[in-house]
Amino acid sequence: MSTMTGRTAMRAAMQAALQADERVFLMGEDVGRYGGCFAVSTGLLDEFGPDRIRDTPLSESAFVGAGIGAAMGGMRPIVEIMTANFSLLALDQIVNNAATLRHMSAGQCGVPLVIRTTTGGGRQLAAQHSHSFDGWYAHIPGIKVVAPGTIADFRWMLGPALADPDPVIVFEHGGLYGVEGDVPDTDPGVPLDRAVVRRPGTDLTIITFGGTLPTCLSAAETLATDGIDAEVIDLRSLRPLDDATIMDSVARTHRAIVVDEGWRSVGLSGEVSARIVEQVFYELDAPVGRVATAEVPLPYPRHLEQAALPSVDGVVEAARAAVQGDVARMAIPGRR
Amino acid sequence: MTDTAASTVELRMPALGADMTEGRIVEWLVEPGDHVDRGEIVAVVETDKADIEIEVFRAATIGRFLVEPGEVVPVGTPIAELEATARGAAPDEAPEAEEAPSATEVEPEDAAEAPAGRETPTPHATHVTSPLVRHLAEQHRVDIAHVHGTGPGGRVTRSDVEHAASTIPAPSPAPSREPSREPSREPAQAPGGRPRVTPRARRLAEEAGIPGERLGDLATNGRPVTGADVLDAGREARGPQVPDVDPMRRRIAELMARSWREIPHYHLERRLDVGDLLDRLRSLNEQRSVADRILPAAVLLAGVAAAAQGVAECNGWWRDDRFHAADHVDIGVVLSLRSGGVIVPTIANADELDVDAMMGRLREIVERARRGRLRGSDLAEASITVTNLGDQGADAVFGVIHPPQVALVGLGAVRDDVWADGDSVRVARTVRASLSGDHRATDGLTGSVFLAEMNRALDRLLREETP
Amino acid sequence: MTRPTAETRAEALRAMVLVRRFEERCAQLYQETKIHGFLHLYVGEEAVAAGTMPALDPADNVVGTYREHGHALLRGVPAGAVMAEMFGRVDGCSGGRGGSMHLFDTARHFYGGNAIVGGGLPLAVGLALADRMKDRPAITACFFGEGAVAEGEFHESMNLAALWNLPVLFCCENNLYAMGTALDRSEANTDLSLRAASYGMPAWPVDGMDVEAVAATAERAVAYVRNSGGPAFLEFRTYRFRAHSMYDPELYRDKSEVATWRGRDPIDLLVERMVEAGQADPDVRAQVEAEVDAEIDAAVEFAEASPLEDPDELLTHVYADVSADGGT
Repeated sequence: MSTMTGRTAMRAAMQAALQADERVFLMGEDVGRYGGCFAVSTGLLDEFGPDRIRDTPLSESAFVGAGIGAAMGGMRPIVEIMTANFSLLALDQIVNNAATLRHMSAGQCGVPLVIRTTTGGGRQLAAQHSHSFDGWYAHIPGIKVVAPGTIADFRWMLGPALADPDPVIVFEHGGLYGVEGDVPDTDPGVPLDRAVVRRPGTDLTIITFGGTLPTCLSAAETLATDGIDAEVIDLRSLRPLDDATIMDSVARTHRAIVVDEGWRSVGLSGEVSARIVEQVFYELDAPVGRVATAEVPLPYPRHLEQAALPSVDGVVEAARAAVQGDVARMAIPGRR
Repeated sequence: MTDTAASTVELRMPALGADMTEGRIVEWLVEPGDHVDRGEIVAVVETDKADIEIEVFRAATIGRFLVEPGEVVPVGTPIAELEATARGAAPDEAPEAEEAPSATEVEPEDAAEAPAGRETPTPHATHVTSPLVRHLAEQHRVDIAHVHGTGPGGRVTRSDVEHAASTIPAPSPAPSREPSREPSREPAQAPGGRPRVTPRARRLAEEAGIPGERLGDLATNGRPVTGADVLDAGREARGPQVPDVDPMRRRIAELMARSWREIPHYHLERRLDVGDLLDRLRSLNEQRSVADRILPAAVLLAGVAAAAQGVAECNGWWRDDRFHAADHVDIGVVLSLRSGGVIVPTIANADELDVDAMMGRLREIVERARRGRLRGSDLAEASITVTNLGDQGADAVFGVIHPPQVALVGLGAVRDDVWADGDSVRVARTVRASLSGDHRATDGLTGSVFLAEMNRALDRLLREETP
Repeated sequence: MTRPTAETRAEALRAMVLVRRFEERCAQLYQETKIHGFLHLYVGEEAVAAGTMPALDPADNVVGTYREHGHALLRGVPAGAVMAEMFGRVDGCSGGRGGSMHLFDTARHFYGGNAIVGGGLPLAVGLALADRMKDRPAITACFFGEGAVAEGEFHESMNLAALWNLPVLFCCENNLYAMGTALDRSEANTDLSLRAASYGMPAWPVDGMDVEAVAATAERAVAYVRNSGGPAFLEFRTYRFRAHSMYDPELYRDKSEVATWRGRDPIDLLVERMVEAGQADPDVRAQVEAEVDAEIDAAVEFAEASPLEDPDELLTHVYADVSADGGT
């Protein structure tokens, strides 16, 4: 077991992948000479050379599309889109090519591509640099979407993603790059399509992923002092969703809240809630609650940004409301 | 095949766009008798988007117009007759094979339809199934080999699997602890072990003062407890305020009280090792379609029938201070009703029924009882009665004889039990069978013989059955 | 440069006639509601595909647009497979799943079939990148219309291919209209070859109605890309005689303009040349058409006989593992 940060863990993951398989290469903006916008790929250019660590022009559509084409041609590219905010420029390539090529060709073309991108807010980067589009991408059949929420997952999710014959988008929350965590030294074999119970509990199930996992674990600690024993599930995979783990948990605890940094309306949290209602309706003792970002482009000033994003207090309040059956307080922040 | 072979073909209103369904001829650009070459424009058609010129796809002479300018016709409607002239030889013999602008044999409705066709399904003809259907079958624990395929060539389709999964054998008074191949319908118990109750039901129950633990009792036929169930129960619970007592309840009360008063009961019990029997049953059922499977209840009833036949002293009535043996074995089967209370339809001539017929009869009376549609013949007098509370979990039941009968057989749930075999011990699947006997008609020895006979009969059953 | 012979001319003629008659048959079948959705025909532009395809090796990659039937046929995809795809049947080259705009045949390195204008260019860059990284001598021919020049993806892809020196042959089929928008209403500078050259690669304009001019230039360009390893750009000046797609009333161009271009029908041009050189009879076109029509008849028969896919298979081909259906 070692201690790593999110960035050093992902760096180690890429390094290992590049060493193990010559088909693997990394391309994206500033991944080489600059060492990576978030200092994740620092040192890789020196180690692997410019053929395998490729700095690209600011051409998201072209280099994501090139990643797709290279994957079709037998390589295993890691395409880094600097932030999820810029992924919109490559949306056509991702949705109209990566997600559809296998289907349109009736299986002749596979796209074994990994797209890594930094996501989320909370660092006062304002409206255009703070998006969470995980839910949007999880909507699309043909791609897979994963989100590491622990430092161990930062280290050990990339391997399975690269091995997957289909396109995988890895959403790395920017807030986790500097966080330290325990990382197993050998590959524990992370299944890409399974959620995991991070904290077992009996009174309610908190379902989340990625950057809000630490928030939920903190909330669980606080709730414990109140005598509320919360079970926290880390989805890990947003597409496909692991219904079995979710439903098993809710069937035991009879209450659920979903915590998602996307906006609440028409978001991933709604999807999880709908599934819970479809599958374990008769186990519920309270409506499924949602804690998500307020319906506002993220503001710059700290106090406003924090008020908009899911917080420990928000999760605690929603959990208490669920346990007490107080429906009105279950949608946080439920201003609209 | 001559160079100028001609044939009359129809020009039809063409589809000119992704969602065009009809068009109007604005004008004809040719006259009857005109010769046109391949690709020449012959008319202007108005669609809801724009006016489009239409062409012919081979050389032809214009015959007569079938549709006048101004008429709106659906795509595919013949609009003119043409004499197609061949240009160059076509490889096939028949002249009509030469394509006219819109070949006559083409029906727009056929387009792209070529239905896979619902051919007469051949049961088990082929088990070619798609991975998805196999996956679905696995999920539902349905054996594809025994699903009736209605797709082309007898192929099993998704709906076939779903149908198989939802086909429920008639609910049986005897429990099936077997992890049988029959897909079970959703239990009244949810996976968490608690009864399925809708939120509305819970709320209404709370308001009505019905304690939560009682809610599960309101479940009927495996359906979740809904608000309606709670309201019904509330009405029943307000008992003393309801002027009429349920007649059936009153009758049962009188009967049971009388029985207990008048009949000196003795009770015997025997544990039956039914493991092998259930195995044989399962093998039998594996060979059958879901609809034809036999429940353990039917087999156990067959055992009772054999015992009643063999030990005639237990099969009959006590009247006029003496025992009257019955000519046949007519088994009364105790069924619980949703509204409370029981009803006891009869399976007549049970000693003459093979297991299949027993199953059929059982299914019938249960269905009819459920629907409240039992016939007079169903309620004929029984010569012996079987009661079974095993499906509620009772290990054994020592029941009250239904006068004027002289015996009541009770069957507990199938349970795993420790079983001594000589010096060794194993785990066996057992049923605790009880006999309540009328001590005026029989005594313990006869009762024991009855149970032994039942055991022997069960041991023999299903052995000669061929798949 | 290879000189045209009677043989190569006969081949080119047959190729163009095959595409022409196939497309015309598709128009007819569409009107008979055998083919549905969108149908974009290549009539008039046959010389481009007929001239470039023979210059490519089997291991080279081809990326196309939604007007790609001709490219698919001349790349070697069997006419029956293409027709069955148009009919949406299982024996189509894309299993019936794609239709007219998404013809795929990876065994022949034919990578579609793309319905987004400009959407295929980054893919072509990527395929070339893979060949480069794997040290394979293949090149990638990427076909697109002049309308793609307006898309950002064109500029990004041209730049990236030149920057990384990738073996992409950008084949711009300039038929003067992006659907209904004429080139000069969309581009401030309509000299496409000049603009392409500004990205740092050789660029040639070609008379796209002359199959032999196309062939000669394509040979040169393919050789350049293969030898230098870097990209090149060809602008084929061509014209489509029919509408953009089946439902286009062509309000944006004059009939006289169409008639003028029809006067330069690539098939007629070649036939004239062959007849003048004594390499063919005056009625050679009719003869070739009859042969080709038989082939197309067979293709239609094949397509008619091919079944529709079982709807139970609907959720396949989304992921490699059929059960990984997103939990949906």
